[in-house]
Amino acid sequence: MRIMLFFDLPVKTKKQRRDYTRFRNYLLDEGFDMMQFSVYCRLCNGHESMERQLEKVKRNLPPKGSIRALPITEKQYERMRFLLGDKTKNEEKVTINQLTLF
Amino acid sequence: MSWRHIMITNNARLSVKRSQLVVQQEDTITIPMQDIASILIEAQAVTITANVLSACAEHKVSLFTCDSRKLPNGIWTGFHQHSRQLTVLEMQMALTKPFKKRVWKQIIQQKILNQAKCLDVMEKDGGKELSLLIKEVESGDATNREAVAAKLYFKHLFDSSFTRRSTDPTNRLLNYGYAIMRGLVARALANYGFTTCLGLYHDNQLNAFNLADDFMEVLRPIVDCHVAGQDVEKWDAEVRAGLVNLANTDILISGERHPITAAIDEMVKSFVASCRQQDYSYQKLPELLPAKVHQYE
Repeated sequence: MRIMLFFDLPVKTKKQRRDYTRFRNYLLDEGFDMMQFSVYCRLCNGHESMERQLEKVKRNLPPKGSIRALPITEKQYERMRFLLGDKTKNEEKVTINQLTLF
Repeated sequence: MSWRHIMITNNARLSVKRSQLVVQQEDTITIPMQDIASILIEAQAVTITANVLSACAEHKVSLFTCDSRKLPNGIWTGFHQHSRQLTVLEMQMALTKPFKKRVWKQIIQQKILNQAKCLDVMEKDGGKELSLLIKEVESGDATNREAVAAKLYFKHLFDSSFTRRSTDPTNRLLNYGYAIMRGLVARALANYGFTTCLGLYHDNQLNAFNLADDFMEVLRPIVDCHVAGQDVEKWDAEVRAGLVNLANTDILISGERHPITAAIDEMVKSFVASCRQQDYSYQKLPELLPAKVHQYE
């Protein structure tokens, strides 16, 4: 199960930029990976933990802007087409597999 | 809830950045610390920062180190991370002898049941004989049915000449698997604030993990079952990964399927309940299923 998170945040004033950075840093601390600019993704082990993760994000939203979250299953995620460019190294290595070998 | 197990088989540099474990090899990979349940370091030249150790304690990750034969020889668990350390310690100290004996009886009964199931799964004889022993277990296992069962069980599972004390390759695999289970149990116990040197039955003065050794008894047959179906002469990273991956196989606890990591947590949680209520009937113990790795959607 994955959460895909898309956001548009205003960065006109100093405060807005600070709010934006705070939110972005929060996402990184929570284990979201940047797929593209303003598109973040996090792996969760099952529906319940996805809901819990979303609740946590909701409590840390910046005051203004537009943010969407789309929960999708691994099967759906695998069906993503790469029209240009490749998977990131992190994406290739860190999968839903519970045992990761290095 | 943490669910990821990591095994470092090649040299790497481990550090922490933004609450993520950073593994630097040819590529640099990051994994959220909060998802990790255990890290096993097998390669000899792994550099690890103090920050990683500290983050492991904070996120309740158990970190294993291995000796030159790649057998786990050390566990790192958090130190006094629980908020009510003294309460738990007092509760542990106040456990009565009869209570401990009754829980130990349950553990041994479940262990023998799991051994019998293991024989059935591997299509070996002896499952029936073992099942008969279950009823004979007395409080505190005073008549030591555990040993009787173990003798019977190992004879049927491997061959009649097999002993746990010898240095044949089967034991190497078993020891590896047991060490992993022990570490996972110790981790769960530490998370719930238990002092692991105070055991129920095990009371070796030299052992810091007596309580973990008590609770891992029920999990031993899972390792046995896996090893019995394997070519024991092989000893490569794949074989070891298979043993570590046992932490992800499904097991039954109070009628539900859970990966072992989660089941251990359930078991320890129920032990907290039974200690608090001074009632051993709250204790839940996992029951062996035919091996299948837990799948997350």
